Amino acid sequence: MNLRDYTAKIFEISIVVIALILFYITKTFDIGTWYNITVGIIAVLIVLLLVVVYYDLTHNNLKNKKIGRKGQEEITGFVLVVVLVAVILVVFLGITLRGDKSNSQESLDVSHFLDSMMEYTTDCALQYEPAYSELDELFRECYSNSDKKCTSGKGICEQAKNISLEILDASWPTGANRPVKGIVFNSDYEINNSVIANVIKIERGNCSSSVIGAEHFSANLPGNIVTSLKICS
Amino acid sequence: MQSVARCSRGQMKIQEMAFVLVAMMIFFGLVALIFASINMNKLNSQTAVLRENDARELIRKIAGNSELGFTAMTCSNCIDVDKALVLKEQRAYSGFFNLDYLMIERVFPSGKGECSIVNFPNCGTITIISSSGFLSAPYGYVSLCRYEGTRDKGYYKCELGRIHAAGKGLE
Repeated sequence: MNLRDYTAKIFEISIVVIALILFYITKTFDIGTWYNITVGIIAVLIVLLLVVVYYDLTHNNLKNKKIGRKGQEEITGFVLVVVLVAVILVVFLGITLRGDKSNSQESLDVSHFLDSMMEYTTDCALQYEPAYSELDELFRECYSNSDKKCTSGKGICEQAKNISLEILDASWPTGANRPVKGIVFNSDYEINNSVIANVIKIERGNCSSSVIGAEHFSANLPGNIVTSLKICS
Repeated sequence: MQSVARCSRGQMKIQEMAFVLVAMMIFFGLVALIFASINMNKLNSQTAVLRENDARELIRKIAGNSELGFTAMTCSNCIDVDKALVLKEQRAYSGFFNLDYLMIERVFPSGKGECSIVNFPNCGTITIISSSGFLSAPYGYVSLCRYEGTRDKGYYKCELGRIHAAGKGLE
């Protein structure tokens, strides 16, 4: 094989690579029908153009050997530029999309859920029955007096965790075949945005994919009880 | 002969250059188009999320309405279940919210079946308005509150629920 054959092979590979890249992009991203059609037409045009250039150069160069070597070098340079740009584009797209997926998005739905969850009236009374506490109050008491018990004799932290678990299981059922793959529920005591102590932490399922979430703040001077919920789908 | 050879060589170079330039232009045009498409797609999805959030906020606003809101304690997202049960029976209020569908669902503790004054709290849903068959409607999480117990030994009890709504009142 001489230099011309190598160049021809590089051309063939580059045509296939470009076609595959375009196919991958149009298939992977739901860009919309018109955009897909436009991209498809341009892809076909580019492939046709490359085929024409390839055919023209290989056949004309055979007839005109004087310009063969110089032309081949230019073709090789062109192919290298095209392949390089295509590789850069794919890498850039990959980084951009991966970056988007790892970001946690603030969700109004989760925020409303946390607000309502904290209003839930538990069956734990701290002083007398029937002055039952809200879940929010149990979280605060769990941090301040973790050894304290409800009038029923159950531990406050244990009750807070059990009720949270029941609510989360009823509201966001997790599983491999469900829309929600996993959840991370975390409640910390924070002063000036620095975590002082963990109050409650609950994890369910697998939470490696895209995440939506929200936080709920409850004043417990001198700091706050910050409760967060992350939903992985 | 030499000048003919030079001429065809020059033409060939110009031809090559033209091909390269056109191919590069189309390629970069394609790249720009793909990026524009992806950005447009992102914008569309963001618009959908914003509309959904708007709907959720409006739904929560219904919970704050004096006809449904729980006023015994300071809570902006609490629905008075007793009011909802009474409102369900009042046909005069059917056009009040300007909605085609308004349903309150008990999430935790969950229940089954339609609620009435007789079977509450052993039930799951309170359908206040149901003009036509809705399979799904936007919803928002709320607290479902009521006075539990007798007059002397009672307390305010709040549970977790969802309010589903659809219709012109949300637009």
